[in-house]
Amino acid sequence: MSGEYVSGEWSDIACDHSPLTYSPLTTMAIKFFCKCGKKLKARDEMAGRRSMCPRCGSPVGIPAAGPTHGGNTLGPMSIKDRLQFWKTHLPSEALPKSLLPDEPTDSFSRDAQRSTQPDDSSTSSSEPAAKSPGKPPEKPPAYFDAPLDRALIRQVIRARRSVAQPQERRLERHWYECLLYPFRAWPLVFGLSGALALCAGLTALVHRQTQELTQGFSTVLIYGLWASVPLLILSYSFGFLDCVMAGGLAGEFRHVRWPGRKIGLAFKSCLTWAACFLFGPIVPIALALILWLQAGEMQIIDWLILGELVIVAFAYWILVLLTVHAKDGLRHSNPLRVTEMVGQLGWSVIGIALGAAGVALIHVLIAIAAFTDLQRSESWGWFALILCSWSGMFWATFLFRWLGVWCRWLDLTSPPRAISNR
Amino acid sequence: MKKPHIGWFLLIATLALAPAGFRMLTWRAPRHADVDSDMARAGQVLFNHKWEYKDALANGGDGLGPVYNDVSCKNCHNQGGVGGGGDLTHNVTTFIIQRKGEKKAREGVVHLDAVKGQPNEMLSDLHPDLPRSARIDLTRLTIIPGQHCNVIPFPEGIHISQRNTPALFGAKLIDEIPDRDIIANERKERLKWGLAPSDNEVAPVGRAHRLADGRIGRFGWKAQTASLSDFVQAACANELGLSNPGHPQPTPLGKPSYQQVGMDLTLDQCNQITAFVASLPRPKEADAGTAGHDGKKAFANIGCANCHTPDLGSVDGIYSDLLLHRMGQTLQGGGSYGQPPPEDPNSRPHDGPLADEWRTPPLWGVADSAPYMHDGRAKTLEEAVQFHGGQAASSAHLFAQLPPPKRVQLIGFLKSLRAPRQ
Repeated sequence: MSGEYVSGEWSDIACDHSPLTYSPLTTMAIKFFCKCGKKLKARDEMAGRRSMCPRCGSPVGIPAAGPTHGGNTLGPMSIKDRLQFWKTHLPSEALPKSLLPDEPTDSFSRDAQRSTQPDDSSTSSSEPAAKSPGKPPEKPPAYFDAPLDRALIRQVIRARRSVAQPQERRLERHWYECLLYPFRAWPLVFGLSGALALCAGLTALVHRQTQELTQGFSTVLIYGLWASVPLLILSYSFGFLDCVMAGGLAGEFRHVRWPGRKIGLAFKSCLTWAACFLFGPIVPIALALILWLQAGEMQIIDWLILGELVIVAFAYWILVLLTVHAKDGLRHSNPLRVTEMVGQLGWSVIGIALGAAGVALIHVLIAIAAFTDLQRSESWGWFALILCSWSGMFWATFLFRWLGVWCRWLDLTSPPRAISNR
Repeated sequence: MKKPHIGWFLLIATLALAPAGFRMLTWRAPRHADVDSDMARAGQVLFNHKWEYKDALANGGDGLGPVYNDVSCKNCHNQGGVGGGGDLTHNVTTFIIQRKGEKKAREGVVHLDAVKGQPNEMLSDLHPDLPRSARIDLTRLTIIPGQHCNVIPFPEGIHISQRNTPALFGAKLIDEIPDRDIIANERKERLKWGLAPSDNEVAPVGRAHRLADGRIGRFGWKAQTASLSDFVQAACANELGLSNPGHPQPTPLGKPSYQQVGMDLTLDQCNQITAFVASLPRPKEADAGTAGHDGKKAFANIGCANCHTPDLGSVDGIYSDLLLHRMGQTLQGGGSYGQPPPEDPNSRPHDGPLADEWRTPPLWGVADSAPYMHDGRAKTLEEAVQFHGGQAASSAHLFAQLPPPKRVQLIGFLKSLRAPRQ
């Protein structure tokens, strides 16, 4: 998994954008000469880097893309400059130990880079390599002759990769921007939901074989061992969704968080979800179950009432979860707090929760059909189950991100412990 | 922002749950009507009466016949007292003919006897390749484990099987079970076995037999009759050839042109017989001591109680879910009990029982109803358990694996389910 995915422990991470980013629209715009006379060209984003001359093998510094005006802009960053930058702008844990600052560092930002005059100390080893492209320099810059510390370069590249982010990443400003979040977290969304579907399907298939087991301790043991696997996957799914919402609440946009190796965090999420279910949604769900079991032949009115109860239950569950996460504590799962939360977010949140619950109901119906088909040993059942699970996780991720970010916009989080210790 | 009042929450919650509450209030409570003792006494006379051709009690109809299986209800229903099951000699031969290109199969009964002047029915009336007799030995119709069987080849599209006479004890209680209790069992079984469909051949998931008029079948080996009244009327017509308002008498297979003369039984007479059957006491579980208690536990442990549920709705000790279950290839039997009545064109479509689908027979009074299974192929209770296949195969397998003392205890428990003392 790429370095974008961070396990659930939260820490302060600089939110500045890296000046060293890739652009998909690259051209081989920089043309220059090696000291051996070879004509070379490089992509824009390579400006300020070092490379090797394919003819003579000596290190070459790639100049800036456009013509430089003496005294107005900085020259290309030398290795030393870049080290200096990363020391000051990266979290210490992201840097190799050898790069940790051992001296006071200066602030360094893109704006500063653009606007400030070069001083002697920062440009001493970063003279402009070429004043204009296509014209060989009369005298190679001093750093060309500096020994190339490859190990140091590798360390810098590794450190930069670990935090490299797309250039335009920022906290979502509109609800539809939250739709991108599940795509960012696609390995988790697809991985967890796929595992969940697989586990649920296998459990259903294995369960019908368990009638061969007589009731007793061994049966309980087998059930317990088997149940632990789906429970673990379910816990991680809940944990991931919790992290998604907590990330939104914290205004976090750089990383996609999940419980990682912290199984305890996943189980805690599972318990939170279960508790939130017991603090309200269980009533309409129990009523729906009684209605379905005892109604006899279902009339249209029965189906409507059943759908209404399930939608109400799901919607309320979503609101309780939101309140618990925003207010940071299960004690806020009472109806009073939920009503208060709805009041703060506006009544439209009820509409959103009902809509989401409707989508959830559709997924439940598809899952039931898939389970039924699965029991007939038809492959369509597996296909539908996995597809339904993927879709469900996608929309849940989107919803939880949206709700989290929404609270962030309105500053409804409980500041001291909103996410810092989750 | 003004905090919303908790009253809003209560109002929304009430509005959300109220429809379900109102709907539940409309559910009809189980009806428990007392049996009219005068009607029952009159019915007993008719039940025990030996019917004759142009019988005096036949109200101007042709009385017994033209084709019949026996001359009195009591002759077949006699084991453990009047109203009990019948032995192998009273088995009824049923047939199903499904010709190519015909959507609907022809079903019916090959009667044992005919009144004077009318042709006896024979299997060869169905197809010339079949034997020229009304009934053949069970070992020539099906393969019975442990017995030497010489099964005749059935012509294409024709299947013949036999039905053993069921006991009628406790029929009133079965009649009074609300449809929704039977459907509730159907849904519970689906839920319990991972939403497995009823047409699966592994998990014990049954289905209620929905008749063309929307009612739930509960009487007969294929649950083909919805009420005790219908069951009595169908039996009078099919077994004795007594036409009645609910069911026409069968015409001889060898003489389709036979014209029915009048009505043999009035509706009142039918109701009297129904009242007598309803007055029959329910079987009770005898105290079998500790061994019986352990046997009951083993009965539940090996999964017999999945289908032979001890209680159904408000009826305790019935040991049946009254649902159709698939019982495997060895327990096939097409043909329902008599030609079904013409379907109401306005009624909804329904699915008839499959050849291997059988209603779970109530086990109350089973000890006094030998032989067992739908055609009486099992002479003992032990054989009956072992002959289970399809959805009950795993229970039969577990029974075979039980240690002999446990098996004895289980059979001992079944033997404690005796017919009522009259």
